[in-house]
Amino acid sequence: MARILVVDDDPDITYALSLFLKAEGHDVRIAASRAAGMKELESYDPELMVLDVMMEQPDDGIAMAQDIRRAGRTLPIVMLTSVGKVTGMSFGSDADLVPVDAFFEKPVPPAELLRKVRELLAKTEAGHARR
Amino acid sequence: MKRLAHRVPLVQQELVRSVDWLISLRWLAGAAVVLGSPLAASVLGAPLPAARLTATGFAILAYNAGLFFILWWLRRRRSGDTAMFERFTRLQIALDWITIAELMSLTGGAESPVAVFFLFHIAIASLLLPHKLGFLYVGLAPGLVALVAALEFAGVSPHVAILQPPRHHDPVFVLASVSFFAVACWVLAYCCMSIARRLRRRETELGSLYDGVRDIASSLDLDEVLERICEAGAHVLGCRAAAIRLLDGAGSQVEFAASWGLSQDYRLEVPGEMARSRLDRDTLHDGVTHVRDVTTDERVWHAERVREEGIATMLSVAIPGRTGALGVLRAYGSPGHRFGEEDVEFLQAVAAQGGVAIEHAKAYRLLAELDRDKSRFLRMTTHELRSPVRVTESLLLTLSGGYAGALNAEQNELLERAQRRLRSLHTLVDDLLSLAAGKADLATAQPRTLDLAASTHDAAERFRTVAEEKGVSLVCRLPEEPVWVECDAVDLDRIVSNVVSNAVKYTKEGSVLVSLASEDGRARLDVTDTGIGIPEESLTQLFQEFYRAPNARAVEESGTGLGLAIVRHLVERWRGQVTVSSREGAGTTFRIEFACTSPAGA
Repeated sequence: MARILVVDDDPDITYALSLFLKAEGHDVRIAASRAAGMKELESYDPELMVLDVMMEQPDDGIAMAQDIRRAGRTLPIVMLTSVGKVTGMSFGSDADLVPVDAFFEKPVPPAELLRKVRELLAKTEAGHARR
Repeated sequence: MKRLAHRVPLVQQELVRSVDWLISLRWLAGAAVVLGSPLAASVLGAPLPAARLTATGFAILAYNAGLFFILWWLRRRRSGDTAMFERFTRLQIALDWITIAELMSLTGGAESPVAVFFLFHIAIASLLLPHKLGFLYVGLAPGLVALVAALEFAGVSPHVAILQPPRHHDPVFVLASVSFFAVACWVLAYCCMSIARRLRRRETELGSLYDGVRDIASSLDLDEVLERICEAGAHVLGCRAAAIRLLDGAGSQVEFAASWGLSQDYRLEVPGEMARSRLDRDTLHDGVTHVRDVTTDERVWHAERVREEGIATMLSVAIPGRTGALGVLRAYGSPGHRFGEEDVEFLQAVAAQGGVAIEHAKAYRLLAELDRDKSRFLRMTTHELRSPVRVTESLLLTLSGGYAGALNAEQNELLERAQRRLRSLHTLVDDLLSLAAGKADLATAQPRTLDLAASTHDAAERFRTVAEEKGVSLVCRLPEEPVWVECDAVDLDRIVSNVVSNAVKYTKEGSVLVSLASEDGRARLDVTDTGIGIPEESLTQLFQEFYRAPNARAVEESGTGLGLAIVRHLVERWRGQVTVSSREGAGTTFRIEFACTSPAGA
């Protein structure tokens, strides 16, 4: 289906995510840090990315998303937060500060995440098709 | 730096008061002259010009009435202007002196006892009026007496003979009475002026001590407190500079903590080790040290450098603390400046007040640090406690979603039970942490002007699905126009969703009505349900942490009993009010009230 990169320093989360993403037929790669994530971005060239908001630094995920957008990449980014719904939402209200396409609070609900992933991938394909 | 206004010096207050007193006294004087002159003339049989004396008495009363009205006008126009009162007092004295001179010439010139009346005014003038040429001013009185005597001596003005034989042609008598009078005037003026000068100086010192101490105590910032102590010390003593050197915890180092009037270089060139600073060691030991001359005193370090700074004398006192001296407060005098005994007392008073202020500021700083540590700890704990719960939930959700293979009925049942327990642990951790964080760290809340109607709508809609699944109708009656309140967005959402979620949770059938109205500047949010209600005996404990009503426990096993405690805490944080009314079995109404504000930017 699609190449998906999951960036999270928690192996349990990445394990669960890769289980259900693979079950949906996606090809999944895991990166456990911001640096590893950036490297995979180059070599693996994912079509979608799931990114945790907090890794070594409390805002690693946000900084990484900003880096990716500054580099001109437009791939959809799904951000996972454990900071609490409202905080994540209030981050999300500022698209320049947090340039991502969707937010999910942990615990990650598999069915809803998969639905969102389908939706985002369809949108990119439609975009490509139009071009 | 916030400073408080200075007081009006006592001498000026006294001047304003004594103006009244002079006028009252003059009524008496005028009346005495009017009534007394015919009496004196008949009783003494002296050849007094009674008619002219009575006329002078009336003149006194007349100009006193004029002065009375000027004073009334002055008070109405500008009560605080002491310069005006000084001028007014001088005018009175001038008028009185002319009158006294006139009375003198009518009662025997150099022989007249009336001259002593000059002394009242000399006392008042030298005590209360500021004088640049004080003695010259006082000299006007003997001058007037001499003029009267001279005119009579020369036969220019007629002499009223009080003594027999008349002495106004006797040069020895005239000269003696005029010069004795002059000496009396000057001696009186000298005494009054020097007393007044000393009192004024003391008052200035006390005043600046008062102002300084007030300023010292008006801050909790340590650096500001230290600076103010130095400034107060230098002002109170009227000296060149002042500095504070604080003792470190171990008592082996003293360090410049603040100074007033000293150059930066000077501060750097003074030793820090106690062992080398004899002056500080002695001060801490004896309480006071006085250096009368920096060039000869062997305790002074780098006497040349000290002299270069323009310092000739030093007075140091220990700054007392609760458990021993905190450091040294030192006043520096320029060449020629001498510190006296009273200076020691004043400097000690400043140091004592300063010691208290320093300890308060230090305690405050420590509390602020502790508060920061606590907040940091809570933030860390928040993450550490929440994270494993949420990750485990994610894992179980993947399992129950069938992404690791299909599950049989028993496996599903086990998984569901585990997930239920985990969900209540999740809520408990969140509630505990938000309560703890809310109490610990008010600073994270960001007050904003928010639309309560919109927040209520958003929060209530989140529970619509849950309510409808249960067959409970959720009705929102919200005003069309915004209802502005001052709150933090996260707090407001938590307040409303907690109350609505409770209503939905504890209502089996019927409805939940969420209504908002604003009236008389108050926003009133009512959440009314037709649920299980709250037993009367539980109402008083409802908002306590971990309390759950027995019938609530029967409906749902896994509640934390923290939800309403959080609601009340958050509502009160934003100066609102939450109340509850309920009948068991019939339903409950929670009412939340806030003060309305005007919209942001309006």
